[in-house]
Amino acid sequence: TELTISSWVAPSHPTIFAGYETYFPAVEEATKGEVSFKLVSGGALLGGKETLTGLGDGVADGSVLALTYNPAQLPTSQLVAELAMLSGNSLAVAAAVTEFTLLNCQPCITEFSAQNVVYTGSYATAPYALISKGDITSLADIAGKRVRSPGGAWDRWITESGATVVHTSSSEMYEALDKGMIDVAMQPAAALKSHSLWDVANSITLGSFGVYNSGPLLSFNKDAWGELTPENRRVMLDKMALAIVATTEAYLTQNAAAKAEAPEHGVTLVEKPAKLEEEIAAFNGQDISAVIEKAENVYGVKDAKSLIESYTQLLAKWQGITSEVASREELVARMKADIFDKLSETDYGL
Amino acid sequence: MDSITLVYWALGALLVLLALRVPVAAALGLVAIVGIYILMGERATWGVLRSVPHAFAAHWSLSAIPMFLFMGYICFSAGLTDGLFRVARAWLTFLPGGLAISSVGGAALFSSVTGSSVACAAAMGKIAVPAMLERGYDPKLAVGTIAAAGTMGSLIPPSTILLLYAVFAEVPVSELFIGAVIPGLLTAVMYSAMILLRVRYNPALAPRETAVDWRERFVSLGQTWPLFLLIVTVFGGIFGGLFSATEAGAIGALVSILIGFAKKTLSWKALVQAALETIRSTSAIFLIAVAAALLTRLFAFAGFPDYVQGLIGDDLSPLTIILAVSLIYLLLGMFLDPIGVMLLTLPVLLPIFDNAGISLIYAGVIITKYLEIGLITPPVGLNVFVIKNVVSGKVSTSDVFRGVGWFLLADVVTVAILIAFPATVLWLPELIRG
Amino acid sequence: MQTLDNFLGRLGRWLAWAAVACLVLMMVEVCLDVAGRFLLSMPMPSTLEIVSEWWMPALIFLPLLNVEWRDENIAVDILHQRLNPRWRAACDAFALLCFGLFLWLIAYAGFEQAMRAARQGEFIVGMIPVITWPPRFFLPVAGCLTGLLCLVRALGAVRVAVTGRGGYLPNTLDSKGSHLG
Ligand code: NA
Ligand code: NA
Repeated sequence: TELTISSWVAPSHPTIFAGYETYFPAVEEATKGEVSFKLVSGGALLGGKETLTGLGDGVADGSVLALTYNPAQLPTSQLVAELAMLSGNSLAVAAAVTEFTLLNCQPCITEFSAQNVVYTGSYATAPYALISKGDITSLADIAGKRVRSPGGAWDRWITESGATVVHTSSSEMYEALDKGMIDVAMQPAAALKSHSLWDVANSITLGSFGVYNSGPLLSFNKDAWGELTPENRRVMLDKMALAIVATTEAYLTQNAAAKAEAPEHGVTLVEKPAKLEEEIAAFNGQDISAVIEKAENVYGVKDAKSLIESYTQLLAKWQGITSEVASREELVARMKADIFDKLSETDYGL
Repeated sequence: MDSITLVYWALGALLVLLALRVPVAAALGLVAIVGIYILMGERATWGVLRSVPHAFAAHWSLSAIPMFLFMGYICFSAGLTDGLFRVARAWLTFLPGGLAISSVGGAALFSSVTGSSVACAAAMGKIAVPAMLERGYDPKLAVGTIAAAGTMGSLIPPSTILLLYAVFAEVPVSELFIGAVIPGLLTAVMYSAMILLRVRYNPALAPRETAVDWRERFVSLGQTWPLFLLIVTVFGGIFGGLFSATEAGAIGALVSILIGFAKKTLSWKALVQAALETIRSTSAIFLIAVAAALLTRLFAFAGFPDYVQGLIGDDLSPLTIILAVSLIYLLLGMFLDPIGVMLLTLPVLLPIFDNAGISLIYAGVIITKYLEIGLITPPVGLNVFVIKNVVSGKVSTSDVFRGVGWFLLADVVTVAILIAFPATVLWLPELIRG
Repeated sequence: MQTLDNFLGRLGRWLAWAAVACLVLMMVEVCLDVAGRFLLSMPMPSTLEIVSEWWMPALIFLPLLNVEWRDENIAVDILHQRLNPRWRAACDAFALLCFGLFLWLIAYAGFEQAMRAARQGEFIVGMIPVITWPPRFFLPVAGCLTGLLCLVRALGAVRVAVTGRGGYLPNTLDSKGSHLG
């Protein structure tokens, strides 16, 4: 079977060059070529907003997703986006979101199923940072500034810090920062390089701003999933942990490379200023109640409190595991044992 | 039948439908739907039809197009562009075909405030074509000039296409903008030279104008202040960080309304008329773009990107790549919309450019030039349709295509220069980078 | 037939007026957003989302009926001028049927999608949540009506082709530039 995979991002994106290019050969080899993949990237098949329904309709057999595009269809699943600032440990977040959604959040799986889509795990990006023209070491430095926000939890933090939230498309970010339309861009350090922000900024503040965690790496059309043999489905579940870790690590590698090169481009690295860290911790403490309220009022999620507790427990668990494991193989094996081995190929997603 | 063969059959069917005078949107759309149905079956076809049209329309960065169109129509209604055109005429009529050449100059200026070729062609078409016809210019020369000159709209910054390319290639949009300036001006020079030569050898195409004295030339300059004010506001705002290139259209439209009312040359009735024409043009043009987006899906399903990769092969000499890319874009540009062509080809081409050491800034500008040429090549040429739409009744679509032919020749020369001398693109961005 | 044609013409003008309202709202909203961001540090909330999800589909789809009623959809005339009037009418009938079919296909698919979005109460969260399902009905409504107009005119064109009498193009098309056109 050849599965058509759609993605709206360019091939230079970690989900493709690290995630898919690890996953596709691994599955093809393990199924002895019974399952192969045809990737259509760059949005030639489906754009970001239309992907969820298009995938359910069978326009593609599999695709990357961004939950934030579809809050009405996936209210519970995208709850984790509102908790993005809780942890900056990318690998732990990816594993925790994946385990939470697959095993601890029945409403999440029901939501995907209602869209005729099978969820198989999420990646996470590198930690977000504040990229700006002047150093930022406390909330006082950010008050009154215009900050380009990625949305969700970050919107709330920026507003509470007394700054102005600005939403622009990522293509406009460089121009906006250069011309002073925004003062700060909230992005992983990698954006210094990928969006050439180091030409227009001279400071980056690294801190506990969290990671983007709402990207299912590769979800499938339910009918296409059902037509595969159970053995092949088993292989596809088994190889997923590796793809998730590879994608997330690629984000971290890009990030580290950009950070290392930053000083050459005249960008000062401000590492976790103590005052700002305290202020973020205080925000996170209060923020849970705001998330619960937003989940119930805006998204209509029931029992948000216990779901959030379940997620935070898993986050703590995986933070522990990632500090113990010595290699990528160990982490992948642990994710497989704790998460994917618990899914049955004769039952899950059917 | 393999899927690429199906694509060629689809293009053949498209030509037949167009020849039978089926509206361009319907011809593109039906061919795409049938093709996708044969290739992918019923389920996927409905899936594409459900999601593509609305998703194509619901797009922030495309919002600049109706806004710049609105600005163009208001400028026309309020007579703001009359002054501009008079300047160009006063200073350029000593040349053979001076009116056509000054239209090219006017379009170049207008391009510096609009991000879209289609908007540029629409606005210039309203001003320049009637003026040329009135003075006895050859109708094909008149419409061809504006359809072609409009293509500078996306080359001379600001530009929606360059913005989209910048997102995809992850290159700074400011360098792309700067890099496109010389190719944009070169295009204007080539078009002008071509008009000059043609009229030289066939004076019947364009009657000579009466001489304009220096006094009138300077008086004409004085009349253009409203347009200069508009240009300064739009450019100043973008470069001063007050608003983005996408937002600039809305600001430009509002400012042109305010100037029109201040000058008392804009009436409420004319404003409403401008708004109605704006939405009608927007609708007619976007419907074609939506249908072309459907055809892009057929190309994607058919594995066209892989086919392109095969066409280019493993030969990674930059010149071969650029020449192969030229062929691919000329072919695709005949049928698809510029944005669709970019979505389809960039994922394949960007890594190839990277491997061959071709600057992504250079590639972006060259590709934009090709996409612009696609706007005036038959059988599907958005700019040609726009001109036909704007001057309706007086000329047929095929006349506009015929008029455009000579300008395509000029474009061949322009492209040859851009390929022979990459510095025409790269010099300014390097200068800025320091 | 003429009555139905006239009725659709009036409906098309209303839809066009609605699109004009959306055009003006879009311009004003973007300008207020820019002004608010700089003068008050208070941008208009969710401008990006409202412009793309509401005003753009409105501008593009609502005028469809008016554009077709004025026979302003773009076609390429290569052979057309050389045909005699009856063959030309036959050609036009075919073209109108193709256009109507295309519109009905995308309108029907768009209707299904709109109903699905309405059932799910589709929305998107920018700075504030924005409901996004109602604008999904712009295409089905305008597309379906425009398809109907195409059918009406195609029937007229078939009659011209067969009998050589009658008409099917808008005789009310404004040559005087009436702004109601
Ligand atoms: Na331009
Ligand atoms: Na073309």
